[in-house]
Amino acid sequence: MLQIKMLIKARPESRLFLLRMQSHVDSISMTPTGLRRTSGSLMSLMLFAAGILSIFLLGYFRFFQESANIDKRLQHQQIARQAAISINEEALIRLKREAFSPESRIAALLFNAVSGTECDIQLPFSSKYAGQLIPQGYSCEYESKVKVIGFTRLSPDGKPYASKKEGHGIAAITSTVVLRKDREEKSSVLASYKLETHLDYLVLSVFPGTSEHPAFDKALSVRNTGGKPRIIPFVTNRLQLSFNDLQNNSNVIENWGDSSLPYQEHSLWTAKNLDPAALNNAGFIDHEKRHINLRGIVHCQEDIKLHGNWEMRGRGVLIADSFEISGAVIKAESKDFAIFYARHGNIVINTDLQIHAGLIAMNDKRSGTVLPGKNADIHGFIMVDRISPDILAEKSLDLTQNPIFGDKSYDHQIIVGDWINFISQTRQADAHSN
Amino acid sequence: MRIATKKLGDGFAFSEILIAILLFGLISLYLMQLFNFSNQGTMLVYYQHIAEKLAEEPIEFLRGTGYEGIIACEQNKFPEYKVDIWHSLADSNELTADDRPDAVSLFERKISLSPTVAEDTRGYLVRVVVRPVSTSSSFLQKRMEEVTCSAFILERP
Repeated sequence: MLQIKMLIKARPESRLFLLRMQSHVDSISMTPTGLRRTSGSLMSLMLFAAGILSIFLLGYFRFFQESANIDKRLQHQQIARQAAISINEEALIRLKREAFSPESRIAALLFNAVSGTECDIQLPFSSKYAGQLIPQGYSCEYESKVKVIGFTRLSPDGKPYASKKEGHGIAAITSTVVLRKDREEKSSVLASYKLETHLDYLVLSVFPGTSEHPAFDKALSVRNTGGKPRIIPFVTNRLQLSFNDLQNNSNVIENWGDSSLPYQEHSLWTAKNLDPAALNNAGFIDHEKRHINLRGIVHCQEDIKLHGNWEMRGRGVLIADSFEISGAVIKAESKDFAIFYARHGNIVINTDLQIHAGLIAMNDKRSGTVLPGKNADIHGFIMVDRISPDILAEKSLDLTQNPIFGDKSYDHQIIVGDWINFISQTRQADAHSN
Repeated sequence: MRIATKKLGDGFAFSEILIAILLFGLISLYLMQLFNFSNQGTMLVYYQHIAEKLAEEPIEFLRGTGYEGIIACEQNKFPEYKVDIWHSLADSNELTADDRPDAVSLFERKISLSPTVAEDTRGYLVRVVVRPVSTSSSFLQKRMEEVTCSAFILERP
């Protein structure tokens, strides 16, 4: 005790420590055998054990609770995922269809191609059947949007496209599904799933003339009435396309000058500089089956003579130096059409049978014409540099409008690729209640 | 004054040790149950996962085959994917040559196809239900419910 008092005197700051020491010493009793606890040991042990046990029980309870819910959560996520995939599938189909329809909002969005713009996709199938994708007692909200990610007017090889309207870009479809559990006066979000897919798309000048997208506003009507030809010109801003865009393009087959001439957009072309034998070998003019199979623009660098009757299949233009047609050319289906384009000479018709084709005879010398050797019966249109009144005075040239050339034209097509080149999936579970 | 150190034999009383053993025994018992329950929970999630994959499998396959594939499936041209009947599952998918886990023998599956049309879009509503077979363990029978997976597959343009 003397030492303690001396320590307090010497170092007053150690008073607190010593007072604590003193109180601790008071709680134990001194016996000859040494130190021994007198109370609270069993109670402390029991309290300690009870605490541990409570913690374990609490953990056990929470674990039980979570385990009981985990399979339900998995199920909710699976339901939301399948619903999102199904809805996204309809969105993809709807995108492809509407991109093909020039009047649709989606086509306008893709055609104008401003990055970041988006619009909703209407999903009639999902709105009717989405409820069957989820169990009873649940409800789901969904939406699909299409957004332009990027668009460029340069082709992948760095060259500009033929037309200023052409280009390619990426369209993103985002489909979101929120699965809810309906309860009284409120619903809670069980799971949400967001699916984003990216697809390439192209805006290209396509060959016009399908029933959905024909090219010609009005057919040219030339009729020998009373010995004098009466000409009703037709207006088309689709056939007469500017040639300037392709002046530096290697795909130009020859120097056609700077005059306004049709079909110079290289995306419309299928084959160039073929001779008649190659035309036959490639199947464009199949002499064995007597079929003319066209798809896009096919160019022959010589004269073409069509003797006998032919069946026309597909849609396209056949360009040659000149044509001589000595038999019927009948299209296989109503949606099919052909255009015969004499690049340097005339189109001579030596038959009175029906010819289901548009005829163009135009050249740089402004001398192209259609010459009927007999009373010609054309189902299509005629476009010439000049007419020959003296010949038409002797031979009639009946021109019947082909309905496929009659509708409002559409010279660009949006083509959405089949392949998904990016996919992103985001999911949330037990998000919130409201 | 001298504070003595604890001698041998001055520790806990016998009653204290008994109570401590009892408490730790109880705790150990709960721990054992916890491990057991954890194991069961893990197995249940495992079976749940397998059941979900078995339910998704025909949908993914039919989505790959497209609309025409579903019509073929409706005509029961794919023995692996029988329509409108409960069927057991083999260890491997003969159609896709994919191996399945052994636990698939614990489940059976039923595929339903419903043709649907909305405006210009045709499609099928595909519903696949997977459940434990009656010969599976009582644990699976009691704890696991049917797993249902639904999707629609549309005719593409």
